[in-house]
Amino acid sequence: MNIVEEIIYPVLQEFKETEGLDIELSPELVIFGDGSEFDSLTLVRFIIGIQEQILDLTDKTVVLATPQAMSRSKSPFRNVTTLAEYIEELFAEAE
Amino acid sequence: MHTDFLKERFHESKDSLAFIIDDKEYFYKDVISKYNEAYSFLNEKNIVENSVVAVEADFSPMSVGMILALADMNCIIIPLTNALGNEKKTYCDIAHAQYYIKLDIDSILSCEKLDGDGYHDLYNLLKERQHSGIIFFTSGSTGISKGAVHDFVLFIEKFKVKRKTKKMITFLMFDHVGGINTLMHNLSGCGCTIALSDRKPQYVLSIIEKYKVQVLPTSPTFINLILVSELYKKYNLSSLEAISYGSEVMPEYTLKKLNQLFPSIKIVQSYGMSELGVLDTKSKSNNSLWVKLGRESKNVRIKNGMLEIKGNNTMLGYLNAPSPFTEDGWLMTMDMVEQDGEYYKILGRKSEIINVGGEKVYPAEVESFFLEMPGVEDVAVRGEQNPLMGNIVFAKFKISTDESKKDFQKRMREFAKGKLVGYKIPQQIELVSEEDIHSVRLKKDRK
Repeated sequence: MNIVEEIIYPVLQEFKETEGLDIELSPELVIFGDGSEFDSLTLVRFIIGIQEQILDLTDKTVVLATPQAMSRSKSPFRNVTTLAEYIEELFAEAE
Repeated sequence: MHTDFLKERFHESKDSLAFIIDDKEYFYKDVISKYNEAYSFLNEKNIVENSVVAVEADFSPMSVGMILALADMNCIIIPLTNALGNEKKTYCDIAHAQYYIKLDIDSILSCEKLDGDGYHDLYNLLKERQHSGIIFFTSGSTGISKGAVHDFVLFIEKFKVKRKTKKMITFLMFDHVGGINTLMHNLSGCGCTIALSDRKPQYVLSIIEKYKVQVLPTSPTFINLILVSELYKKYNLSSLEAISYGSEVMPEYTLKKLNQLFPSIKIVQSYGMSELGVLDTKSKSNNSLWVKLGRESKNVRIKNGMLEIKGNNTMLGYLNAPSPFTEDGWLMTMDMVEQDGEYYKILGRKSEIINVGGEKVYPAEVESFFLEMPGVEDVAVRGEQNPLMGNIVFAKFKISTDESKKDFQKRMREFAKGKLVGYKIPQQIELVSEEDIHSVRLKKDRK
């Protein structure tokens, strides 16, 4: 499964439309951190949106924003690529 | 004996209607005869003074007879209902109950001896006073039920002043402080209580129509249900003179709509809790959420935004939880309020406030806002832990449209944009059925 194309982009696209975010979909797009368009509440909703997209497509229930994820030295929510890697990691753990 | 003042009134009004239950009428003479039956029964079973007795029943001449007989014998009463399920046993264990009596409308079905030793420090206090007690259980925010012990003699003291009564439904149940309060109110003035075997809106409304009920004590959730379902249109409710609401925060929108639809009905807010009994209240006006609490304002104060109450009617204490009283004897209600002179506005339980990244959100405010959204029949809001924000606002919606969750969420956000500050807009939602949004007691189920 292409996590970026099938999970992350559709949710970003929806946020772009509904929240009026000025973003271009790319693997380097900053989600949370310096230069991000997301405020903290948008990020919360985005993460929930990603979780729901995962559930819709794979029937898997994953929790992305855990205390462990938040305390990593490199945040998995930095950009699209790190988020995709993190989701892949969670999928692997679940198997 | 403690309940003599009531029995004297029952004698004077022996031919007055006391109960209507399942289309059958019962008179005050029936209540007297059930009292005598219960009193003899307790003696036959050797249930002695100060025993701790659970009574599973609903409102009826038999249950009134039993409660008054137990009160006269200085027993400690645990009113229970069949709807409680497994909690019945838990409550008996917490209360160290010694007997379990089961009643139906006009007979004693069974009496079982339990393992409890009937011992607790608070019971000793009642024993010293030679008073009976009553225990109401409250679910509590931690999920562990707390038993609130009241001095039943003090509880019924205020009913010595004969109350004006009207034909009234007992909407709150037999195990609920508000239910017992309504019952005592009616008995005090020898009024007619119409017992409900079911609390579904259709049934309740049909009972109001059939028996020309004058007073409906109920919950905001129930009022909302009859308004959104438009069931009120199908029944003749012209007999209704007053609706009282309590037990949860009333959404402003529901109150406004109720007033518009029934301008001639007096709408009053009540304030009560298991630990407190029910206070005498006076709403500022029909469409106001501001209310005077208690007969004397000196018994009410606010500390840290929270309501504290002092008075004879507060409980003695919990059976199984730390004391909620301040050192100088004020009961901390845990209800957050605003004050305007003599009037108070209840904002919600302290434990239900959602802290989103340091900002406070009252579920009732968010619920009230979304009840105005087209297609929303009901909504229940709670906090959900979130490592980013501490907590986020989570909402269960019951909607009347066939929208998908995604479509509804989109419309919900658009509806709230610019009107509700961002952190109060639910970040996560769920679409649910009617059963998942309120309890069997027709109180909002936020869990």
